[in-house]
Amino acid sequence: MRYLILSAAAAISLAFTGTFLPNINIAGISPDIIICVIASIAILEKSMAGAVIGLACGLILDLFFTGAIGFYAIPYFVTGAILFFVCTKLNYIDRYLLPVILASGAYLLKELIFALLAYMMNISFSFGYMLIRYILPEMLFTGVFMLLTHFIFIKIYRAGTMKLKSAKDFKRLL
Amino acid sequence: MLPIWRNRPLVVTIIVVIILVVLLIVTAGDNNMSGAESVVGSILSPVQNALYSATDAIADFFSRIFSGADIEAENAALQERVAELEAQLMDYDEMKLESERLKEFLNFNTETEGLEYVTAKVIGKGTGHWFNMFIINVGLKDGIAVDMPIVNGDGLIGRVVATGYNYSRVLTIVDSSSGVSAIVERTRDNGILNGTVSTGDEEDALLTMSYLPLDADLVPGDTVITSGLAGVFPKGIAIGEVIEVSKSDDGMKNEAVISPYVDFYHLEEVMVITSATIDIEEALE
Repeated sequence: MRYLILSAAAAISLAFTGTFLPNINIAGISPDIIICVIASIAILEKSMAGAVIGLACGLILDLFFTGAIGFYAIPYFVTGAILFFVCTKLNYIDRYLLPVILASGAYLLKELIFALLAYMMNISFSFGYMLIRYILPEMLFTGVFMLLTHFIFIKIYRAGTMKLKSAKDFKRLL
Repeated sequence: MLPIWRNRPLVVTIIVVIILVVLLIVTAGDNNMSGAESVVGSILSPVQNALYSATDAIADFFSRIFSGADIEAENAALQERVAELEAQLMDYDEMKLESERLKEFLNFNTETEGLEYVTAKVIGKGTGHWFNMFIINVGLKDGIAVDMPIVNGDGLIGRVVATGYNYSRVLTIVDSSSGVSAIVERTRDNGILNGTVSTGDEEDALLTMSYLPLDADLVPGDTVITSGLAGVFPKGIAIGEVIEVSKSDDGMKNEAVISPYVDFYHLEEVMVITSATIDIEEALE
């Protein structure tokens, strides 16, 4: 059941990212649902499942939209892995502040990796402009959207269909 | 503290990243679709098509709400009837818009006689701001090949960079890796159009025209069209208009900023020109 739900989460976030979000952005700004899903799973499970979902989503995005395998997969996977390492070290847990901070930070990290890869691929861009015009607003938007995503994931985990690795932490959320 | 090699998640992460970096280096700049890519893409593209159509309708619905419909003023007794009529109206509007778009296509077709084309639907757009690509619902089975130009009634959109069995990936002219040989219609000056990163909305979708002759006499408002020189795009397709001309301080560089005619953020149907690609070997013979 756990694998089914994680696969569904990956599929839904991917579908939203490639289809719905391009149509509902506000002045070109839209939240990163994949990051929200990765962060939520990392907080609740303290496992590498989020990183694996990031890797799978990234590879599919690469396949459809870039042709350069790894351009999306590397940032999403690395961000998921770092979230896992951070969450395993964390003793603090709450329902609002921590998810927002982690999702926003993860988004910023992901975009910094994108910028590094773009620089290595000789794509010309103004990092200052990108940071102010897109990255920071989307970071905030992703943080806010994380509240909704995390709320949904808590409901899913509360339903008891997901096996948890750290039930002690999870109980503190309920 | 564990030595690095005994920290299993860290080791797995490092190995996966190394593999991905190697894959990125190998596949960057190579637009040929591998067999596995093509098969996976072909399986997923009908799903993508269905989802895109569904979410497009939902987005339309929300955009109508946010566009200021005064719901409060509606009489409660009439709400059900209004909803029903609105649903019909949405269908009608959609059909009307589609009809207008197809009429534009028809105009394009009569203006560019001799070209053969396939009409396609946009079924997915890239996320983020680093690439400007989208996918369409036609592929090898429809006779689509790499480098075929993509246009709509407004002008040039881009070219096909990869094809699967039932879908194709399109690189738009506003993507940073795109380059189009173009000509200014009035002055006949040649130049190369390049896209830019950070094209998240209409205001950012601009092109830079470089390698212009030093004596080029461009003025804002001049029309830019394809030159047909590079052998990918047929000559004479409208691209956009000049909005800014700049010369370097030493007078050795002439550049122009071009605003494309195509609205890249509301693309729904496009046309793939299937008869325009020039066979270089044949031409040389």
